[in-house]
Amino acid sequence: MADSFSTIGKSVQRVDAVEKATGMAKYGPDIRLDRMLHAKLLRSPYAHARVKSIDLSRAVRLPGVKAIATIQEVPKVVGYWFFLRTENKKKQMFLLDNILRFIGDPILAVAAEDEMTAQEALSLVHVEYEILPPLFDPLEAMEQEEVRIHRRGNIAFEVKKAYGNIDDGFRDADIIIENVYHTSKQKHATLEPIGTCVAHFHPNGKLTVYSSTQLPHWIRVYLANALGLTVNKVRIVKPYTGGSFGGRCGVAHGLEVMCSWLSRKSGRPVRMSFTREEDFIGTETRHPMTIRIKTGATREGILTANDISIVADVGAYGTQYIGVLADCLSTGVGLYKTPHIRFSATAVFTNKSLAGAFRGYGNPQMNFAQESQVDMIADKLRMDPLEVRLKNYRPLGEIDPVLNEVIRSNGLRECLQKGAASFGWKEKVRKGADTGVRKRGVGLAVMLHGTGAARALPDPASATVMINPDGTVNLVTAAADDGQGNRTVLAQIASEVLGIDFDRISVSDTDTDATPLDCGTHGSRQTYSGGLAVKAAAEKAREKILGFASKELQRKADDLLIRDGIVSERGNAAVSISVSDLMRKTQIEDMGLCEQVIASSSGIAPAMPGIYGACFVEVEVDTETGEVRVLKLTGAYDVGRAIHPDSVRGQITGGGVMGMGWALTEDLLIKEGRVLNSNFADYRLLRSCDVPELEAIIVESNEPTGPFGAKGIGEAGMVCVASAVTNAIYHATGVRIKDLPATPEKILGGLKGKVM
Amino acid sequence: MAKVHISIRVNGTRHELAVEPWERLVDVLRDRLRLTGTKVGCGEGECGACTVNMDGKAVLSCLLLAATVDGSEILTIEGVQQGSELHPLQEAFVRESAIQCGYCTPGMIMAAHALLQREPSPTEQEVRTALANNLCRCTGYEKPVKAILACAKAMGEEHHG
Amino acid sequence: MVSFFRPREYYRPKNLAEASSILAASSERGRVIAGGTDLLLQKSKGVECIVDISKLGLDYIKENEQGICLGAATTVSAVHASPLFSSGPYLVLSEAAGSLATATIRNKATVGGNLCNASPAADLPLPLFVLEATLLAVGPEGERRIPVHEFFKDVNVTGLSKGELLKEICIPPCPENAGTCFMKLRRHMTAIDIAVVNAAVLLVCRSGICETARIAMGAVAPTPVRARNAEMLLMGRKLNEHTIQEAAEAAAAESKPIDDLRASAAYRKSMVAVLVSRALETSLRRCP
Repeated sequence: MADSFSTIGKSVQRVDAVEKATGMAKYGPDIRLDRMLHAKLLRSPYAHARVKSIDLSRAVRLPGVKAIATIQEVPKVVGYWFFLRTENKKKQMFLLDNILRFIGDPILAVAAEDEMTAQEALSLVHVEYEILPPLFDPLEAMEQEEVRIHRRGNIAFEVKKAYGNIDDGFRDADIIIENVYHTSKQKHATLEPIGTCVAHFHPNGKLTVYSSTQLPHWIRVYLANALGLTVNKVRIVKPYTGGSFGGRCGVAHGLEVMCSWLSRKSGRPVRMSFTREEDFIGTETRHPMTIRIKTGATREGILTANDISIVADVGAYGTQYIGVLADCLSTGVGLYKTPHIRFSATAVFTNKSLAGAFRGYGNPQMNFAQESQVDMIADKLRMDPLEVRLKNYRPLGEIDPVLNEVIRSNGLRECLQKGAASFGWKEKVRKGADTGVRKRGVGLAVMLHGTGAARALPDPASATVMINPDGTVNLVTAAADDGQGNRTVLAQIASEVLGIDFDRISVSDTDTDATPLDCGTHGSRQTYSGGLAVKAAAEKAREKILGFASKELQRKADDLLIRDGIVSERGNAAVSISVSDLMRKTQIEDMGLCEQVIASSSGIAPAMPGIYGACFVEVEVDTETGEVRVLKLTGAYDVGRAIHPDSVRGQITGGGVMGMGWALTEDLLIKEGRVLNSNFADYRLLRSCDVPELEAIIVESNEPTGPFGAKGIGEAGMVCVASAVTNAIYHATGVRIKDLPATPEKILGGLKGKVM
Repeated sequence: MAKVHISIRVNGTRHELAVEPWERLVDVLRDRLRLTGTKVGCGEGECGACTVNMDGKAVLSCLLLAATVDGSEILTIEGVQQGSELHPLQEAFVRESAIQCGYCTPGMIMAAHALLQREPSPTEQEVRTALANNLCRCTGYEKPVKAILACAKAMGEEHHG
Repeated sequence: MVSFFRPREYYRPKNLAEASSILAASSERGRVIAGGTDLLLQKSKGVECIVDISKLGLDYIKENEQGICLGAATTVSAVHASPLFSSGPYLVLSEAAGSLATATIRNKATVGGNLCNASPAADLPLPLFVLEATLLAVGPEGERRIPVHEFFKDVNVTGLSKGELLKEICIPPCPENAGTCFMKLRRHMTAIDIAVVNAAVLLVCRSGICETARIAMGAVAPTPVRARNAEMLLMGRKLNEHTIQEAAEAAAAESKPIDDLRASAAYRKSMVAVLVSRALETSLRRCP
């Protein structure tokens, strides 16, 4: 795009890079307050049990113990901000009962002078349990009436949608492929464990909570409700965050609420910091899904029908299952023009750790099933998988039936073409099968993921722009940057609109006392939704500056522009004043005025534009051991406009490696409700030596509703990677993996002709 | 439960400390000396967020008992810069957009720092091997590796330039 | 759920005799620390007494007529970097050292530590098995020589008695014309992992006929083991694809792997054959 922007499209130095490079950035675990107590959770040893009694008598007498809070008084948060819409629904968000529903479910918390004392106090507590029968299989749990994990039963949520007539669809099909796919329980495994909280209940009744949440303003409301406070009495401060990917999309189970409760009880600040083990066993994961899918296509490769039935394993408590299931519609319904679709999804409780938000939400799971199906159709018809995608994707100008909105930007064709060219798709896909032990193969997959959640969820975005007496800018936003760089992008947008240098813009910390209501960071929304709010606020600020300048320069505001911090008449640079001089005048010099330029904006984005992308993967399979090595991964994504290209590429490569991990090595192994691999030795993340040649290609389709044409990218980079990997494994070996992760044993089994 | 006396130099400053037998070096750095740039990501030596340099080598401070490091020279992320000037590695990470959430960054920079002292012109494979104990969930390792190679090249040019 | 590692006593003995007597007195509550990478990883409860031997001069690699001696506190990175092992028949030791954990861990992890931890999947015992090393232990009763194949008794259990600690590893001169190889199967070609199966081989061949065959396997029994049947199948025979495959399958038959988190027993058994066959082929190629 040959536009001449001053900062849009430039990979400027991130606003927080130096803090992080010097070790000065303070994250949750780095925070220390005076007189701080340390808290530890006693966690359930049983997958399903009722707490009959808790004897705290010995624990409270241990010197150094200052407060204890149990689940008999402290509610659990079991919903998400969608439930805040009505009083009735809001009550469902908070659960107070005596039931433990997974191994690791908190029973109580002890706050003491030091960690060792808190830990010792836990060993002095005596709990009597009534052990209840556990359910681990969602397919079993959903049929069950006798054993109820929650009072209302084991089915958390069901959604059914139909488009066209499914029977007609299969009648029109020349080939029909039906399969069942399984996806694993993936853990975010952020480098900073989830989570650490320092809660300080002040004597004046105000609660300050330091938490690396993605949603500071929402958890402010959660905590206010949980503790019976008004919202103004709760302040959330988000320090630097060591990654989220959806794992901090609210409060962590047993963390902030317990911590705040203990602080109120003890009258002192309380710190609770989960160990890595606690992160693995007690915080949210991706929803494992079993997806039964039947796809029909004509012999020309046109999809006619898709019959999708999903069972999602919510675990013990659900916080996001409604959104996760709804998100499966992106790939299942929105991506392709398939006219006849039947979609049914059920979220089911089981006695395992809770599932929640995780990069892509439900989309990667659906994508794995769908893109394997399409790959099989291409294979059966002996068509290039790339051609089949081009024939079927829903193009620009059509109505997306999921959102009932016209598609205003769609760069998928360009993603496929550019990606294929860079990857070398044509040559690699046509080459014959390898002889010898090591066999190479290639696979591709495409994706669609919505930007943000405007109108699907309460999704306010707000920003305030303040121009300082020297013409520099303070941008105030609760954007909750977890490392993707949204604070930098928002500053770039403000800079571009205002005509003031990027280096003269400071971005606020994330503190709900000082920042206006913003949903936070989730759903790939900050560049788009946050960006639109910043753009609107900056535009208002710019108008105000021009209003003052107009008086000062004796010109009409419409005839003035701001560039590089100077307001001047169009076509006449001689008539000008610097913003800094102007602001000094209006804010300080003119003692009859003293008016700062302040402008705010708050509202929702107008749409949920689709992010499109294609992923190409080359693998080499050792057919004697079943090992897979990924040789090359090319990701091409349509982000509308890349405001900070390096950050976009960072999301593509990071998402690519995370997707590879989900495809090949990552799975939380649970036996009888117990997590067997709650550490990095056995929950396998890919390392620097494991990573292939990575290519990140940016396509810009210029989304008309987006700030400078931008959409999102945060989740997209992961959505179709696993599908491409397993499609490549098939191309190399003829083994079709339908159950993630694609372990060497499964591949070897497939090579020996066993059922996968 | 007698404490153990240790004398260590951290970022050039000598510290005489009485530590518990179970205290790890990472605890001494973070809690006693308030050098919180070194992070705890797992406590099991798998993630590398606690990497520091000890007597010139990259080591995991969560796997070291403080009592055993008596007499050592320790360098943490807070000590790599020279006054107010960033170390070339820090500059490279910033310039190459190699930092996302930043939690792995101090550990990676310390691992790279030890590598470049030992091997000023590493190959890409050598860089990846040196970083093998530093998990990163954000970047896919792409930019950090590029940053270290760019830094090595720049430092080499400066040296010979 | 979280175990707390809380040793109360820390000793810096002035010599090995003192270290030995402290260990003898502290019995199961006492542990040696050299690099500390296994000790601080495991954080075993009940460890109350730490005996630091890291500064007793036990980190050395010496060559003499008896062969090569490694001090027990020699770091794995020193072994990996040593020119003595970088080529020729001792290459098997360098390969094993380079595959252990990561470069950062290897800076502190010691040869003695890897042996005394006695994990069935440990990497360093295997080259020592095929090189037929002898271990030197020091205890209250004095010094004792232990052939490496007698050192390992069970999972995490060695033949060291109360108060004994490992002082030195002695590798005899290698047979002439030997070709060696170390191989390690991890999960999915990932670079860093504990072995799913590992193996070391030493072959001596003359005119294509096998004079000496030593095959050691790890992660397929409670301790590292020699594949004696497989070795016997190769002795005196021509080494080709057929005999190598036969030996590899014999090694697999001798292995006794279990199911665990990393892999199933059945997969491990199949992989023994694959790994041993590949190690034999590589060793053969390396025979001068």
